[in-house]
Amino acid sequence: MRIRGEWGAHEAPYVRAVLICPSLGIRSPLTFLVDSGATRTAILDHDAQNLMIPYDKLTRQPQGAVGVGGMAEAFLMRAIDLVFQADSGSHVERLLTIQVLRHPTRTERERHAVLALPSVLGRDFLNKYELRLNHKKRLVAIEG
Amino acid sequence: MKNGSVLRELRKFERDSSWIHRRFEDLRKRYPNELIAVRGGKIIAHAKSVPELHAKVRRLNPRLVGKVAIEFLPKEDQLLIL
Repeated sequence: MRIRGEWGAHEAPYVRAVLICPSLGIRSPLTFLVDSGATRTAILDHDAQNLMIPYDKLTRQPQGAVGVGGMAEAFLMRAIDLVFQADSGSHVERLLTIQVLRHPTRTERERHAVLALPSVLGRDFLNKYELRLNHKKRLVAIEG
Repeated sequence: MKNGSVLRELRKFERDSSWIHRRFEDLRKRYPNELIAVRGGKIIAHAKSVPELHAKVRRLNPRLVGKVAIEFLPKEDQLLIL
């Protein structure tokens, strides 16, 4: 299995997948920042809004989450498929849960900063595979 | 799972998302602090918020809401240390 990504905005590595959550009737593509610093894969605010994820139907995590956007409310979405384009066809990653974050914002500037945060593909996914990043060769690949 | 239609949808999305990322700096100047929605290599809507963007996309084609590549374009260069 080999999933190819690309170096995108801010010269950062990205991959795309279709997120499918049958229980919530969601089937939408989205872009993930490949982020080996993130403990868990997470959908961030603007993607959560774009996918119309209903926070009230998710399980709230009382401990929240800490990240680049500061402290955020954290919710769990259950029984997710992430469908990637792989060299050999499709690769379907079944996840029992995925984090959905919501950052509180008080000012327009904070709102803009949060809207700019990408969803992240974290170590719960990446550590199962070999991650290959080479900026000089413009290579982003996840292999397994 | 029948993934043929999912992969077709993903390939279209990948092309449009990549289109945005390749032009990110130029688009930021044209649409500062706005979200854009791109389909087929064209900007089909831009707005200040996701609900406003959805309303514009819905007027064009309701089935595209939540399915097209979107991106927020910050006016100020943002330092992201992840």
